[in-house]
Amino acid sequence: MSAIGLAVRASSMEDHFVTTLVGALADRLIAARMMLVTRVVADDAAEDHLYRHWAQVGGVAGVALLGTRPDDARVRRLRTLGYPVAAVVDTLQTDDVPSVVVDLEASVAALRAFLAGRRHGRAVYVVAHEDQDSAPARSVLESTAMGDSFEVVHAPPGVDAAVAAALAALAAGPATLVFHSDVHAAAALSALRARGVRVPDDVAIVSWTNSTLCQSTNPSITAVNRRGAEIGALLGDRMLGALTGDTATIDRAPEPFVVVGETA
Amino acid sequence: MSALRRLGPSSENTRSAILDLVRSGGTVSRIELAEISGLTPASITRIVKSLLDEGLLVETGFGDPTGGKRRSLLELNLRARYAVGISLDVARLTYVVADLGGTVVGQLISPGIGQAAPSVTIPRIADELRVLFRQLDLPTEAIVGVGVAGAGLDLGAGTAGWSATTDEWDSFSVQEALQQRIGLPVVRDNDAACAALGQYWAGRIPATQDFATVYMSKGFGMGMMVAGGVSRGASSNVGELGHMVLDLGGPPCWCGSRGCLEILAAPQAVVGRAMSVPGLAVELGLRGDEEHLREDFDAIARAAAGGREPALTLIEDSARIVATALLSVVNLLDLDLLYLAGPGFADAGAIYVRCIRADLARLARTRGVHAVTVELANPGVDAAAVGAAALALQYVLMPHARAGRTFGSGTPMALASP
Repeated sequence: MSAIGLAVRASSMEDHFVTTLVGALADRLIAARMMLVTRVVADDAAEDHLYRHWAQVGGVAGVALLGTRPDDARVRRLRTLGYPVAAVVDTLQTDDVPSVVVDLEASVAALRAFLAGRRHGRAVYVVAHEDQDSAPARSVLESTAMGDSFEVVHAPPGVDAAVAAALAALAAGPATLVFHSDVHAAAALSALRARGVRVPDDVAIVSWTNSTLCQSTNPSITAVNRRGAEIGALLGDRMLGALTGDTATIDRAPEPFVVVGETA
Repeated sequence: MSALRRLGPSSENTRSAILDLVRSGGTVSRIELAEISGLTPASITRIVKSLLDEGLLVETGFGDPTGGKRRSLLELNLRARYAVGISLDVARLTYVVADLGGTVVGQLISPGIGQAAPSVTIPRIADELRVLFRQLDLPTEAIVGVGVAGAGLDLGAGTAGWSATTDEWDSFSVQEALQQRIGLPVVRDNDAACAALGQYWAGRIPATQDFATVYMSKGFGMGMMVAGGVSRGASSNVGELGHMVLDLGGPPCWCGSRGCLEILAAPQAVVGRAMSVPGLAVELGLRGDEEHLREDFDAIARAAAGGREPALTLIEDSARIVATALLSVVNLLDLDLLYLAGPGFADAGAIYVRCIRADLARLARTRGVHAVTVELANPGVDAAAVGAAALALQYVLMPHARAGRTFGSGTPMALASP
């Protein structure tokens, strides 16, 4: 049975958009009687080392890429190593690779349109980074795209730091807090309610990442469904195509939408 | 619950309990360990030295001065050891490799066991473990063991009555068969117990916090963590939640009883009801057979999560039955923390959480004394597989938490050093 390889950044293992995508990718591969092997990597160097290791020991038939950048060196690198490649890419990218194109701006626009009619005019995007320089490319793109519409607060790693950063941002006045992480959104909801803050009357909360966690909090958290499951399934299709020689087919990810909860 | 955990005289169990305190504490000093454990500072110093010598702990700096010498801080040396957890499931096999903190460093997902017999599946698992070790580029000498999670009864002597799809799995010892092939210690437990242990380990839950994890896959199970260990019962079969009788005159269950939770509310019951709703099978693409049970249930759950009727009513009906069962569980055991885990809760877990919370808040006997927190386990990874890895870590490195289980053959403590 052949395996498809996937390198995932350590910070992404807590990102439920990514884990949902990976689960759906695995389902597609399983249906084709293939395996998915995922390795957590710390940085670019570790990822490159991993690809060289796979080339050396064999057993990986193709590689799926997440968080690709324009003219991503990993695509060339993997092709040099002889691997078929499929990727999740942003609309800005033009690489000649079987891909699922995610329109990041559409996600931001969906959220912006939703918030336009809400009571808090000010919106703050809270994102925690291990290190801005080594953050996955997609996180950087997201921060940039969000920065065009919202105030952006970069927090140190960890739930407590994200909540503290959000509370500090509220010192400047009421706002809608948009958390990159659903876990951080849930923790902030709990922290604010413990302080007697009324959600959404005093402060609104939105999670940029939808998950069952958002719907299971009390009150439920409004979240953006960025279609991780569908993107994962499409990536699986593109990966299977790449194994049979496809080098350029492109799918567009379905449009994101806001799952309206009780926090915004 | 008390934050203090008084320990007995120095022994291997004391040593492993100290390791467990560091695990749940994150970063702690020797003085804090002495205060929490009730051991003397001299005993703590001796035990910590042995753990440092084995590479299981590292010193990470100094805490704030408290009037005298600055306290050096200790934490787990996360990359010193690894364990593999396998979730043995009909629809997919998930292998995770976790470090000492229970953090996943890699995983392999492959097709489930389906209708295959153990004679086919065990060699395949052994092959896939070799693929995993090779592809993850980990030092194999640092892998301390393999945990296997699956639904079914523990029959003793290393055998299990697996709730699999072919008769050959009855009374089959995965533990022995796999251990012979891979040369690593293998331990097994049911998926619910593993999910609870995974939550305990990766969630850094202290040993003083008892809780239960309800696991829904094909049926239901419940794992209970009590004082930092998995609660076992007379035959290591605590938590057969799926066969709690809720309706004396209900439909017959395959276990021989009637009106069990499983026959009333598990995925098969939900899919069965969905198939009888005109047009729904076509609308959701349901196939209604055993082979596609997971896909069918997931399709109904996704539709319900999106608020679509009649899927929403079907899932809410199931959730209300589960809530009724858990009301009795909470009343019997006086629990204040419940987690929901497993593939059955992946898409519509929020609906189950809502129904269970509502019933417990309204009807739990202890509602005036304490609240009952109901949470979904981390939806990102396979809770049973992570827990199975934690099971192997705990058996090898923290034997004080064991109760009534054996680790294939071999001597687990001898495996503590790679």
